[in-house]
Amino acid sequence: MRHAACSGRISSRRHGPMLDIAFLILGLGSFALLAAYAYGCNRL
Amino acid sequence: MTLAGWLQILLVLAAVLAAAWPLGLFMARVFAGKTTFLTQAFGPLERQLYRLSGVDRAKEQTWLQYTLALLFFSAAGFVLLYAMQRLQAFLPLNPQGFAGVPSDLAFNTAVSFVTNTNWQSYGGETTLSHLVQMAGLTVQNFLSAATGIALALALTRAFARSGAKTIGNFWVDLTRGTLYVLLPLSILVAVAFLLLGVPQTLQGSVDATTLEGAKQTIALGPVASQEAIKQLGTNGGGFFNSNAAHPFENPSAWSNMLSIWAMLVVSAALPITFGQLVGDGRQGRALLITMGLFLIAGVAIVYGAETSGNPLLAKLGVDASAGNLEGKEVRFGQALSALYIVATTGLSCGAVNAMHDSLTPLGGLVPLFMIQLGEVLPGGVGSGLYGILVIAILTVFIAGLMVGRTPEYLGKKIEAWEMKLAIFALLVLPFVILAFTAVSAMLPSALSSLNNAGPHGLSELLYAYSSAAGNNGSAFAGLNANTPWFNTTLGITMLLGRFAYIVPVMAIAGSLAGKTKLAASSGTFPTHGALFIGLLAGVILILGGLQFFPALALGPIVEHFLMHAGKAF
Repeated sequence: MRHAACSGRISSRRHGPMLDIAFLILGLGSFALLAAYAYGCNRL
Repeated sequence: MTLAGWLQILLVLAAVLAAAWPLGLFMARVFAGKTTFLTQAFGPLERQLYRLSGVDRAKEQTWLQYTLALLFFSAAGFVLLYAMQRLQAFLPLNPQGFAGVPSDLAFNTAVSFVTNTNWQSYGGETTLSHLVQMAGLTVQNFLSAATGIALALALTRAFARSGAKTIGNFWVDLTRGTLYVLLPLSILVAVAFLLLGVPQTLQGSVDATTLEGAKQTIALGPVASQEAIKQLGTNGGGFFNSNAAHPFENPSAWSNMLSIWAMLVVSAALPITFGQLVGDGRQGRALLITMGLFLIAGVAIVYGAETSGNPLLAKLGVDASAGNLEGKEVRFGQALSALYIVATTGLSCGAVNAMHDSLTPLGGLVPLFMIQLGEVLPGGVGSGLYGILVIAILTVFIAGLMVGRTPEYLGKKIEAWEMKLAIFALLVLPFVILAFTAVSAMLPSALSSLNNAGPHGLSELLYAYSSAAGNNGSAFAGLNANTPWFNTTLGITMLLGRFAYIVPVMAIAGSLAGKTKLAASSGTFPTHGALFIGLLAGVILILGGLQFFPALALGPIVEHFLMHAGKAF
């Protein structure tokens, strides 16, 4: 079962830029959704 | 438990109160824009910072502008910290030549430090360069803590003002919190740590030969400076993997007492600041007493459980006179380990001087429950105050329902909109904690990260998501969290635990600021007396119990009974 975690790590090295983009989208997308949440609270 | 142990605990708490009082009054002056003894030293720098960043300090923001500024600032911090970790191999001050941090771990760590959580899926001394530790993590330690203080102040102004559209200026609050509060305190505490033997150097490591003749490489670095803000800002992210149990982070009983003092002092001072700014010191005192009652009760349970020891070890003939010492540092002892454990989890600090995984089941239940109670006892720097104010709003609403009056808190009517927002905020924690724990408990790849089976394994999972959602950052250990699943889901949990909570709280601030402040009348429920303190404590306890008791029953509670039935995990 440990291999599942390890394969993810190897994969992250092989496909670094793609994973970087994915994690940046995840982080920045979350902040964008939170900003939308704030706008929503303001309009209600 | 011993009298000497309790005296040590009370000595530290007395030192915290003695410093919190003047600090609270000082912060009230700082955030009201008044002159203080530090204005002459930091005033020119403050003005220069506003000039360079184009901030007009006289211009205040609505709650939405304030919140968007906070989100933008945090998002920028996330991107910068992520990039620094990924590119550390190409950046200076990397004496050990560490490679770039893997992307999932970089995501987790960036979110962790921006949200003031400081959950660490890595070992600092074997993963991160000095540059990332100093210019990345330590800078975020200041800024995320100052962000929490700013938000608490914004909510305080909402109660203090009448019919106002604005709640302050985020950039001004952030700057003042950093310059006048965190920076001077950090310098003082860092120097004290240096005097107590904590290292501060840019050297990567030293080679030593042990008494047996073996060669050993001992990691070093700028520890004292990081240690100071780590405690003061209730961040908790250690320079070393074993955190404040490491002799370079926390070399003696004195440094241990200083560590506890430093992590409690700002959070204990903020209710005093609150009382000053709303014009009624008794209101802040009531909140502080509530926080203190939980802290002392938690310490009593942990101290009692740990000194009682583990009956399974006693049956094997192990001397149980000192209690359960597994995972604890003898130089700190049972009493100050218990205080550290409860303070760090009641505070959202997350630094550890003992391994929480090694506590007895009841001893482990307390830090877990302290986190799940919402990190308001006394809570993180700033986040503790705005967290307990949300529960105070809920409390006056419940009290209003009991006696059939319109609920009011500090002259502000609490109506349906504020209650809906408070519930939005309060539901974030149980939702993310229980949902991710449940999913992880069913995923074979997640379960393979556990070092223990049965209820103890469930406690490890529950603790990890509770710690992330509460922005605490301490680990129960026993869980290998450095996997893509845990790094990603714990990262999302930290983001939601911090910001999905903050957005409705700031909306409450905007709504309350716009309301007219009513004068107290004979029908007003007093919110500074023993009745309110009891009611507030009851709401905190019942709310936490209803949300988490079933999960706790399956984890540490059943483990406690199984331990007495002779079964260990």
